[in-house]
Amino acid sequence: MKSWKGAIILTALLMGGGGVLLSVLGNPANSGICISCFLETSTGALGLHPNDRMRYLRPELPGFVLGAWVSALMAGEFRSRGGSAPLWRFVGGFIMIVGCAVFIGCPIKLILRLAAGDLSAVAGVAGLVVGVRIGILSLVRGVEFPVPVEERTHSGFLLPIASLFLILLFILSPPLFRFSEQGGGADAAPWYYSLSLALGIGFLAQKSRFCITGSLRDLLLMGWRSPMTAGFLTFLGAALATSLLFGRFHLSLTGQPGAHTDFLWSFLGMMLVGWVAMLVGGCPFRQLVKGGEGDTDAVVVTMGMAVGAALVQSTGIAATAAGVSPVGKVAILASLVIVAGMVLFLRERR
Amino acid sequence: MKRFDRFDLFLVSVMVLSLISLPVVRPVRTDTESSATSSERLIAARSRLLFIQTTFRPVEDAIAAGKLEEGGLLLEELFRIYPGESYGLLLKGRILARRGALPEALGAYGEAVRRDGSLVDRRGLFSARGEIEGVVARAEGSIPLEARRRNHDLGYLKSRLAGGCE
Repeated sequence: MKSWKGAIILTALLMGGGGVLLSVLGNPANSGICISCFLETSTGALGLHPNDRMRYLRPELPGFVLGAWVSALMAGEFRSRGGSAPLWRFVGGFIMIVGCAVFIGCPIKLILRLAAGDLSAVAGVAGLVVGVRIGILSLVRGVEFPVPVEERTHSGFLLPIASLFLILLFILSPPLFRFSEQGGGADAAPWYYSLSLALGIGFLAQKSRFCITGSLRDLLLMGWRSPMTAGFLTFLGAALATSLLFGRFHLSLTGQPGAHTDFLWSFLGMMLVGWVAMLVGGCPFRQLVKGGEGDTDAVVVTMGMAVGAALVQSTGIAATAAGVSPVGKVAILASLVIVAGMVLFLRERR
Repeated sequence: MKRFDRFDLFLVSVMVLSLISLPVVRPVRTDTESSATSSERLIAARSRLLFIQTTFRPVEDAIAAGKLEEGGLLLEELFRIYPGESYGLLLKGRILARRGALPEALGAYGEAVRRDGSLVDRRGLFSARGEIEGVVARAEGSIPLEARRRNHDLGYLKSRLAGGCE
């Protein structure tokens, strides 16, 4: 228990402090290690969307997977498993990215934005808490995906191996990918810093099971004394301290990097993310870590997230500093219909 | 567990509310640019540079000579042929800023950046970052706080200048 709590604190420290540090070293301001932003730029690097200002294969993403993979292998916790409602999970991954894209950021970036003084993120925090609450309620009221089964096909190795290939190709043959020359995609910390930090975070997160929505769940269920809650506070504190240390803290409601003031839609976007994260077993970051442990259900969620990341860019769902587009608003409402319908449909009534 | 309980009612309400809200946010068609190879992008950038140099040169000359009214009239003429052209909007912002009409200038600059994000890039053929930073700083120093809060263009430009994901 004590070593588990230590692992959580260490993970949170590395994520909060390291996330801000990567922005200082060149990653987009306040993005740090944002999974949704990075999926958008990475799918752009693979030519899956036409926004040439959002293209860069972020080494952090395969780094998280590989770090978790090594950790799981070393601890004998790697198990190839899956088969639990894969299509629902794919849809869930897709919808999580729609919510993130409308808010502009995943739950990690939500906290990083807040720690940088971005008061517009408060609407997202409120939405995430409400979403997690509804998600818990959904689980309590009988929504349960089938128990995953051990896979004899070893497909759990696919994501870690694909991540390894991506990293090798990225290092050895960068021209294979499309990189932005201007815009958010062109902002990047040196890859060796990004990869090293991501490997460390992935390794620790596999041990600690730390994730933002999981922390909020524990906070709502067990109160302030839960280890995950301590991790959450450590993450926020580390990010805040690093922001202050490097002069990255600017308290204001407007004019923040990669942020808008459509508060209702920020709230609804993050509410969707919190709700779905409870159903599929973790936020976008946690899905990558679980994917590294051999959980193919998490890989399916990740695939849904990747498809979502490409589509939010190509269809204009992704919000910008100018605000949320009508397409983005329609996507949020349609997603709410789908998630509520899914919960309604999947409830077990005994 | 009951066959239909309050949680079901909540879920149905979410679905119904979301569905009836859909017509309120009418979808609009967004232009998606085609994926271009680097040489195509280079040709397009050079063509645009040539277009700007030839088309907007008289306006820029008028502004440089301090003939702001003349520049504004020339710009109006050009907007009839190229309505909403981002570089034209940038020049409109420049004229308005020099006339001291800062809120209106911010509107023009904001619209220009919405149409062409490369205007706030640190480097690039069409970067006008320094000029926009200057106008934003002037606006921060001279527009009253309450008016600044209401000015969405000021918040938008500050956000774009601050960077972050797009």
